[in-house]
Amino acid sequence: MTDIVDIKDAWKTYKMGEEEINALQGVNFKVGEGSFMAVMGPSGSGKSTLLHLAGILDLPTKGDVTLGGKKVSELSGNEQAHLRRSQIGFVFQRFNLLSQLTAMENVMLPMIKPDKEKAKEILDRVGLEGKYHRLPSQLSGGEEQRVAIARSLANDPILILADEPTGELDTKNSRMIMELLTELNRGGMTLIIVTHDPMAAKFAQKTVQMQDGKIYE
Amino acid sequence: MSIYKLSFKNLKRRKLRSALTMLGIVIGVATLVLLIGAGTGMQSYMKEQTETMMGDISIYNSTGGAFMGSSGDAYINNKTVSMIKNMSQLYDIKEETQFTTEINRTPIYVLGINNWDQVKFNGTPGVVVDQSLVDKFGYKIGSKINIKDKDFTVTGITKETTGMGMGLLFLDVGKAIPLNENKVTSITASAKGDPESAKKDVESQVPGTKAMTQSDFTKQIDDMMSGIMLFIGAIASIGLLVGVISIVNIMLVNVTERTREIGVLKAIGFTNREVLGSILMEAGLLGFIGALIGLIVAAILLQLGIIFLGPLQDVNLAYMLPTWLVLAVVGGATLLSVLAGLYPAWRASRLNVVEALRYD
Repeated sequence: MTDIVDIKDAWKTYKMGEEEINALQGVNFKVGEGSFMAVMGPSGSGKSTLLHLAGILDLPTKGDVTLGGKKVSELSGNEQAHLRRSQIGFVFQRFNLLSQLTAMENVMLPMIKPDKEKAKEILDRVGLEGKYHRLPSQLSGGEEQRVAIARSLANDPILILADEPTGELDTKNSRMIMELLTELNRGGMTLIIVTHDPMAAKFAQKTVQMQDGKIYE
Repeated sequence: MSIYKLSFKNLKRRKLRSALTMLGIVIGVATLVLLIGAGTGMQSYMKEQTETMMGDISIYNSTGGAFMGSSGDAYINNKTVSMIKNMSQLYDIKEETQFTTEINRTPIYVLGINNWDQVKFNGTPGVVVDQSLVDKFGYKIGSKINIKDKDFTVTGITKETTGMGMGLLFLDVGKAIPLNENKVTSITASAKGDPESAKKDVESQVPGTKAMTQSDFTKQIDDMMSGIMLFIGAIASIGLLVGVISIVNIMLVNVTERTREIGVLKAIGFTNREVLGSILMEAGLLGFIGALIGLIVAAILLQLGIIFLGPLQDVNLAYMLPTWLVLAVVGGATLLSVLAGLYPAWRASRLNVVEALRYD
């Protein structure tokens, strides 16, 4: 099984005034193609930082990140952005839809080749038939997160990263979102989710625990 | 759905804010266009008047002022007049005279007229008074008017004015010259061949004369008007500058408010340059749309000015809004607005994604 994500001996150090904080302390993290991985741990354990490295939203202070066979440190800022756009889909805790755009426009926003039909297809796939032209304010939380998942699928990525995808949802909607993600994984999509929610983590094939910037399997 | 379309949506999303920001540009552009447009219209009008009022060349006493037929104290004596009339290079030679006098202490500018086609008036040629004299003295066609102790009968009324608060009287040149003690203030003539060489011939062959061609006059007008327009343009530009500064301000607010949204755009793969471009586009749109509206406002005001103030009957909107002015103002306002967006856009493009995504 090829590794989609391969993080080796990654350190991430932040400066808070005089103090240095090690958010990650020599983390090794591999995710194989088609797997579904959950990362759990208390707040401040470094799980979001790990996800940011996997999604090239941030770079390690020390160590290597390889994504789909490409070493991230060797890519320019533009190449990193392009890789993010074409290969990675993000789902956030607070949905982060653009409030001025309709569901369909949100899905089309990252598309490298804008395609209305494809946007509709993806929205159908996440169960939002007929709600293409609703603004985020006209959708429920669960529906907003579905639009966010649809947006993450816009460019047929190889990897979806979800940061607390059920964090703002009730139990019923949380379950529905996790079922949707599981279904994507069954279709071959590689998924990494960061979560506090044990129910959500249960859907993953594998769960790792983090504490104080280190991974405990 | 491109990131640039998003710029339009963002302007629409905050309609009141966008409108108020644009208002600064609208006022700046409208003022600038109004002042420069009025100046340009005046300039074109003066040039056109020069072209219709004079022949190829005008000849004056070389000691007198010679701008737009200003009277001065210098006259062309009879000997000089006959020398000019004998020049074979000239034809259609007309003597002109002009002087100021007064009726009941109201100053009046009297202009001897050769060709009545150049004057717009109601009635018949001969003795034509302007509206200010009609208003003041109740003249009508047929009224008696006394100029320098000679009685005349008003034959027509004109809407033209001196523009200097003086009354204006057009008089047949044949009647005007005797009234002015037979003094000829200038001679206009057409030239056989190049007016420039005719001008040189007159000045070299007839002592004490100064000749001016139409292009000399238009150059004088251009020199004078370009100085005036530079000055009013500079003052009006301050208004536009204030508008542009408000764009910097509002774009900084927009970018700060949209920090998280910009984080999302970067997270889903838009490059720094694309983010920069979308903010610049938004700033440019504010300037562009503001300038268009300002231009329309100025055009309406200029048109109203023409209708209600209109002594300059021949001036129309096309005179006042030449293409160069429209392009320069719209292009300039857009460019300045894009420049105003540079710093906010640069700040947006440099945002750290992770921090931006955490922004509330």
